[in-house]
Amino acid sequence: MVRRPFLAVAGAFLAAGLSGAVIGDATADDRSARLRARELTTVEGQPTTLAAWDGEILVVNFWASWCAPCRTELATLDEWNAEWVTRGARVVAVSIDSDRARALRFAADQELDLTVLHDGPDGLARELDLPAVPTTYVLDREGEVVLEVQGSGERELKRMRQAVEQLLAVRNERAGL
Amino acid sequence: MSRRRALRSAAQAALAFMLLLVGAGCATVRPYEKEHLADPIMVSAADTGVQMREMKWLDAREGSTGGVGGAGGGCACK
Repeated sequence: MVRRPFLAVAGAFLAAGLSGAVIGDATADDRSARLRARELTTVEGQPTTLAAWDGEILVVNFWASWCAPCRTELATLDEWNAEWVTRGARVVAVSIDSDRARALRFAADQELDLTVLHDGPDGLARELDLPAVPTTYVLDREGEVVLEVQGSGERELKRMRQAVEQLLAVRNERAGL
Repeated sequence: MSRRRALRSAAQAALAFMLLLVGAGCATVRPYEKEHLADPIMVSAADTGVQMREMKWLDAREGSTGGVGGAGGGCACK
């Protein structure tokens, strides 16, 4: 028999709280590997991974159709994607909507040209324990995460663009352009 | 065990059970789990359109925004 039930329950609460803090906590080192390994779904419903764009600088944006700032940000990212895609960088917008059709409908309505993929809320979002929606990762040509951007404010967008431009400059330098 | 001590243990057990029930209602919702919370149906007002217009003229009249709560829009992004 437990002699002190109050303490036993309090202990259980503490243990549960601590375990909850650990779940879904991806370290900085394994984010790149998780991003590249996860199987995502294309607009056509085909499986793919981010490794399909090996050698390109990737801006991986996690968004949802229910997130107002994401919808605004996607328009900007679509413009940037058009500018970058010929230079070796690409925006990949990964939807975390639970309903893939809703995400695709939004992308079609907005006539987005950037690459739209679907993953749902229980995929990479949970694995990486996204700190905000939207969250954007900038990956270099080797597929390593060089920048994590939370939110879509003016300053965040500026940081994102600067990072990509710097990576493109390095790429051009190496290519002797 | 005396009757008084037994009653005390029972009271503690009851308190612990109540704590468990109340605690079960608490959950940390991560940003990517807020799809249903961000749904417009979660707004408590009967007519959100009317509420938005009222808020707009109130903000304009008072020259301030956000004095009655957080920004709306159902984002729940962070």
